[in-house]
Amino acid sequence: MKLEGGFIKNLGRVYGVYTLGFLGFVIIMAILEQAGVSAEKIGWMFVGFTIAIYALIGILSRTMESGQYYVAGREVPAVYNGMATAADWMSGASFIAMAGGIYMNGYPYMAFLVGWTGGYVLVASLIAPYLRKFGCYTVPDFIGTRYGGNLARFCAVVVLVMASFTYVTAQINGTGTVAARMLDIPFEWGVWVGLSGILACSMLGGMRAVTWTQVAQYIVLIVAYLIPVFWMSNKLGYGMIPHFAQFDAVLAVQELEQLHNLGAAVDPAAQAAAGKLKALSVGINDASDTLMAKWKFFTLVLCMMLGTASLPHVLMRYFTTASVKAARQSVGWSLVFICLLYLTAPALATFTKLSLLDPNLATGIIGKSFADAQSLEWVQKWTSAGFLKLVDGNGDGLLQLQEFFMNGQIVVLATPEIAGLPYVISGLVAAGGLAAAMSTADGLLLAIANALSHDLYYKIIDPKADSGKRLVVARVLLLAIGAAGAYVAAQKLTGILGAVAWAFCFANSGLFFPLVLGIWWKRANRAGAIAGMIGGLAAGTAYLYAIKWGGMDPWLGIDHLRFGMIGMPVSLILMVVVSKATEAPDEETMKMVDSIRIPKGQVVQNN
Amino acid sequence: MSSQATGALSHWDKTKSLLFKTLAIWVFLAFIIHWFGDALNGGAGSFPGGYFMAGMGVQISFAVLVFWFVSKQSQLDDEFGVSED
Repeated sequence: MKLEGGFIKNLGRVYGVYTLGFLGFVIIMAILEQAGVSAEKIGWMFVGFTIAIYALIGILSRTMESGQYYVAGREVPAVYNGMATAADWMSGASFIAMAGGIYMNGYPYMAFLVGWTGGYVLVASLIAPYLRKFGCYTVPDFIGTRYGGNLARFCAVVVLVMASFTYVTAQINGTGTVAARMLDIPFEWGVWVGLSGILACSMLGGMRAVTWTQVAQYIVLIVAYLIPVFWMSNKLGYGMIPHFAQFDAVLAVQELEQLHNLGAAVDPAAQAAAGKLKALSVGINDASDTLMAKWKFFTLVLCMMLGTASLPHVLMRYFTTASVKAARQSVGWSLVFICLLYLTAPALATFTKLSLLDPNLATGIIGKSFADAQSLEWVQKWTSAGFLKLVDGNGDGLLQLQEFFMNGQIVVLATPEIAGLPYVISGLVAAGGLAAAMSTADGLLLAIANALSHDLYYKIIDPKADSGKRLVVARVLLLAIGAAGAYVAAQKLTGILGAVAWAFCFANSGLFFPLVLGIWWKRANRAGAIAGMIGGLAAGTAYLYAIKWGGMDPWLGIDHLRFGMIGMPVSLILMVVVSKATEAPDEETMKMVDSIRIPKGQVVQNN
Repeated sequence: MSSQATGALSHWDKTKSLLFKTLAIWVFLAFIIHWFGDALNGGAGSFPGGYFMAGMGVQISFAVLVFWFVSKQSQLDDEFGVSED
């Protein structure tokens, strides 16, 4: 705790030393690899070293003060909060699955890239600075105080738990996958190893510990994401900066797609042998001119954006800045740090595709001898891991595009090997994926546990509880929810991305309008907010159930990734109609709304 | 706040107008551009404009938009003397 006095002032030095230390560690690993240390041992050291560092930061940041536990003492500078938010935000899905999604699905998938960045414009302009001025500990805390009454608060807690829990199981799944692969243990155990790491970062220090580990995790994940792409781009001669070189590569890939007969039918017997793995069937840049394709792009962007602006684990990061102005600036920094990764994902997808498809490259195995491809080391390794399957369906001895079945996640995980980079890079990528999944899981678990301990336990069940008791309850809940999440993750219910998009739709169906109208429309009242939360969430969830399990055909292309398109309008209409039909909020509430609309003055809520 | 309603625009009026400007640019970047993604891509061999916009152009623009909004809002707060100390 000696750091504390000067810690905030010395952040640049602390994280500078940390970054250099991490790069030094990577170099030592590279030297050990050259000296003949096995890949397994290097994998162990990457996972072990990074988890140990996060745990150490978590333990050093332990606290028994509720202001520190819930909002990191409200002293996090804008730039560092931006980094922490970027780590909080970029999940295992962003890190592991996004480039793969672009690889497999091409242009339509980029709606995620647009939605997951543009949402921050709404966060900055509509919501975050006002919640910071309000001074709440949790998102339901704002709903409960603005609208008054335990029912409104409780509804917000329910939406928060549904959105965040859906999301957190996917993250624990991600940490489990990486831990299992790197440590060579069964997935079911990997999940619990991952969870222990996650809890070590958050149990003792709450938001304070999570903030400072998230900054550390951001540094690891961004280094791990960028190094392989830059390396590959330079090694394969695509140019110094892959981001700019990718547009020529897109044109080259489009020509190769024709060469390899993209879109030709896949042999049903071969597909059956490949199971859930897929052959590439969509062009890299087929922006369709059909109305339905445009509408699907539009609806996905809208759902992801409004979801971004209502996900509690993201919004609560902006409660930790020192001022309203810093909260606003911090949103801009978050976007900058997020873009560093997001702008790299399409470049990675494009170069991976080019290196597989280009017959002039040694790595271009498509269209060449099937037996040669099958004897490659990385092909064998990822086939045995269940991520890849080569089936010579037509028996011509050549590997066609329609015979190369894969799981999109290998675009990130296997690219270093496909491009022939040393193993140390694979270890680095795994450590990055682990950092991404752990940092998001920490933010989500804390959001759920804080809502249950602060809003449900302290504000509703036992308002007389002292701060020591509240923090014990918060930690017990954190442990219990983490265990529940790991248990569900171990059952492998759904792919990472399905669940992530659902979290956004749960959040926007239930919380977007109650949050925004609570700030921007004084007339919004308790009855309206409750109707909006219950109605929106119920309509969205019922629709999801009907199309996913009830056998109903989706309306107008609104599939399970977009069910917020049903929940959001229901929420908005109910909220406006019911608010208008019932009494206006009292004078005190009006004054409270006025006071959060200006940065000057005391926060409304002093916990 | 409504005490200033006579004559000059209040802080909140100007805040709202800044919000509407920001959201108008946001709508353009988030939705309108991509509606024309196929047209921006052009024919075979021409620069993939639709891909560029969805994968890089709008993200950078969003970041610039946020910083622009933040500086405008701070100016506004200073002008009306409602900034934090």
